[in-house]
Amino acid sequence: MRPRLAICCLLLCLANGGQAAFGHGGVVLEEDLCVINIGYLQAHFKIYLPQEHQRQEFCEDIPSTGESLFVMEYLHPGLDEATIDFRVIRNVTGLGRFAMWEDVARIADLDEVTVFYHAPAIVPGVYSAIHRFDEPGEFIGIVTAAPGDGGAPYTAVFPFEVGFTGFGVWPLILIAIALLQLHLWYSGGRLQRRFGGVQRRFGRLQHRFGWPQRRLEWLGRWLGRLSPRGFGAVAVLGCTFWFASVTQGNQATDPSETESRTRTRADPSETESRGTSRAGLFEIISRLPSRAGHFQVTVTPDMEPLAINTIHRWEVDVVTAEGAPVPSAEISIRGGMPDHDHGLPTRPEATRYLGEGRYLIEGMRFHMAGSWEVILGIATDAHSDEVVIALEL
Amino acid sequence: MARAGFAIAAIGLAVALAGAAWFFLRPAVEPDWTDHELDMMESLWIAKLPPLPPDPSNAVADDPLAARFGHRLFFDPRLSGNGEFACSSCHQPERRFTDGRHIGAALGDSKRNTPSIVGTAYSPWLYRDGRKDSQWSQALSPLEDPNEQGGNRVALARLVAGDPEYRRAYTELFGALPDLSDAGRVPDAAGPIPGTSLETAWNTMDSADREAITRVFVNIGKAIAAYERLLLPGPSRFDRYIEALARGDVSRAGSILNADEATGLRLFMGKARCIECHNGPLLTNNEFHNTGIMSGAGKIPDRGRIDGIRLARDDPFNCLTDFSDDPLKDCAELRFARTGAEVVGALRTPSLRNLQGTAPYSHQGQTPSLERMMMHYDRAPLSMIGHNEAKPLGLSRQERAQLESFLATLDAPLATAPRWLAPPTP
Repeated sequence: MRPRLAICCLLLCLANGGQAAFGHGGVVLEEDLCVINIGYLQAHFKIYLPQEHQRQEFCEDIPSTGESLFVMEYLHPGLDEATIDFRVIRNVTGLGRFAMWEDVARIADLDEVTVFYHAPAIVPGVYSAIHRFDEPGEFIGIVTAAPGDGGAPYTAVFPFEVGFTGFGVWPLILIAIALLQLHLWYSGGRLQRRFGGVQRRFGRLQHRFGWPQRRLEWLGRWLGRLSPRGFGAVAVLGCTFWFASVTQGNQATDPSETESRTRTRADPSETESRGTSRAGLFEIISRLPSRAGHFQVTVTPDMEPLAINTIHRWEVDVVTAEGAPVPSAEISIRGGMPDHDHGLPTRPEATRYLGEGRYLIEGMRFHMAGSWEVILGIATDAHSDEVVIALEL
Repeated sequence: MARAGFAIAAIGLAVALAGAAWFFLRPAVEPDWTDHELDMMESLWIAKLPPLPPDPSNAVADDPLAARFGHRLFFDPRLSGNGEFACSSCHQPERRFTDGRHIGAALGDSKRNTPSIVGTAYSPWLYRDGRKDSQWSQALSPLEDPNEQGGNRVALARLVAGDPEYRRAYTELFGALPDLSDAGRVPDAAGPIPGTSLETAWNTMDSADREAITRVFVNIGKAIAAYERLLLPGPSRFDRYIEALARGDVSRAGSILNADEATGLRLFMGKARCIECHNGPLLTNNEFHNTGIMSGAGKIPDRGRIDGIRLARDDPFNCLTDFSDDPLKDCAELRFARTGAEVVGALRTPSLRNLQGTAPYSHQGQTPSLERMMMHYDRAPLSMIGHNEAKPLGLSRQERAQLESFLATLDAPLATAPRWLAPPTP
């Protein structure tokens, strides 16, 4: 038992240890999120094999050749304006996964070893590139990003394998299987005595259904030899295989990170000082106090009743707590549907001051029925405050 | 003894089969609608479709002569580079103005699946990524796209000038055509089509000539748009159902939609959450959403609106340019359009009216059937780029089938007079 446990532990550690080995070059796994660091510019990095593995994400090593999709979802807004180019070269450094930028820089003719090159471009939001790997092998990805402010470009280099040319931990697993099998043979005589009945029962089954005799005999013999410990060992081995394959697959599967990042939403915890209004009442909000009580707001849309899918304007009347009109305030508008985790479908702006504390907001539109929140930021020299307008459309 | 055993086994099997049959095939019950549901249904009713919104950017949008001129242009293959492809080659009236292909194909392959143009007069944005903000500016793109009709604006101006009927209609609508007779000043074919000899020829022309010819090109688009504005959906079985319910005639309503279709409608507005985006009488909010559709083979995932809004802002024919006839240039949709992470991979919600016969679906035609589409929205998988707004729904197979049968009730002949749906008679 003890040596077997040790083998299993060793296997698990090896399988698990593989994961740590993936953090190299410019790409690292951070809390289940595969991140590429191009200087200070960070992006969520993932590779898909859409044809063979559909939506499964890989961090850098990819299990097979074929169509590979590289995706960088920007974590740093600087990448939206950065000029990015992406190159994949054959890893001719001889350093395998320990190759670094200095090693790549020493390659005399980069173009000769280049298998894929995407010319520099400004690509807002997300960067993606597709390349078909026809042969397995070791490659190096090179991402260069020149920040939009004209600063020096940064480069990230990440060696990766296609089709897992290395054997990884598999030889060790195979040796372990062989050891276990030897152990079973060694202790087989005793076990067969204890579980010989299984073999006989299979014989009867075979008689009844006329299954291929040889196969059944083999299966019966094998099962007959297996002790509970043997079963345990097979189960552990199976788990190890599974675990190893999962780790080798190296998925970065935690979607919550990226999802939370893409959210722009009104904070639903902001419940105080909100006015609720049923659309259809004109002057939808009247004298609604702001959060800290510095202002009161009256909202009059140029559309009655408020309907979805129509762009329209709001007139916003801002007065102080005492009721005096507030001129020359900075008005900002944000909002969304808190239950749906999305923002407004437009980017409305306060475009004009209409006098006597009244402001014109243009570009309002709602694209779904349901609960909306519009948050007006009001900033004067004296105060900065917000008013939360809840709408039911 | 053995016989008794067989009998017990047979009874057991029968009970199990009956149970399974009940579970999978139990008859749907005609829903008893709540007030909230009735409100939602009325919001989808075609009778609630507002009058055609004016298009101030197109002075001839509602001119019947322009619609007749546009009708001829729409069906005229001479508008293409090789004289074989009309607008109607891909937007086929008998297929609800789609083409049944995965992606459009004319001189080459287009970038996406051909969408219907029925009801697009109501949309502030055209194309799946919304890179155009008017019907007329949309109509111009395929004319010069080398993969679509592959024409050029000088040849198009010459076509209008050379065809007596076109020439008459054009001058009546837009005034005199520019003088194209001097081959030294105006080549036979030219247009700002990047990387082509047409572009080189275009750049040799003086700017006044280029401006005059671009005006003709724009006016061709405006006439086509005047025709396209007439393409509107008609009342379907679903609309007759709401009409009956609105009149309180429940028994008649029950004869219009069967229980499965009505249950599908309830799911559409409730559990399946379709109505969140497919809202209003056209069953679309014309807004942009990422729903995690897989990219087509060999294609990077569609970037959708994040690129569409950039293209719309830079478009030489957008609402803010001099080619728009709107003196006010309000252009609120364009001026206040959003961008950012939320629109990465987001594509415009299509109308769900008249889906029958328009397969395959999705922007690359990746979804072969509505059944597969229901499975996709049921699973709501993660997007490869951006963030899938949809959430898994937990629908049963029966519920998905009911949704599908409801969608079939939205099929109806267009509200447009049949003569507009066929090539014009000479």
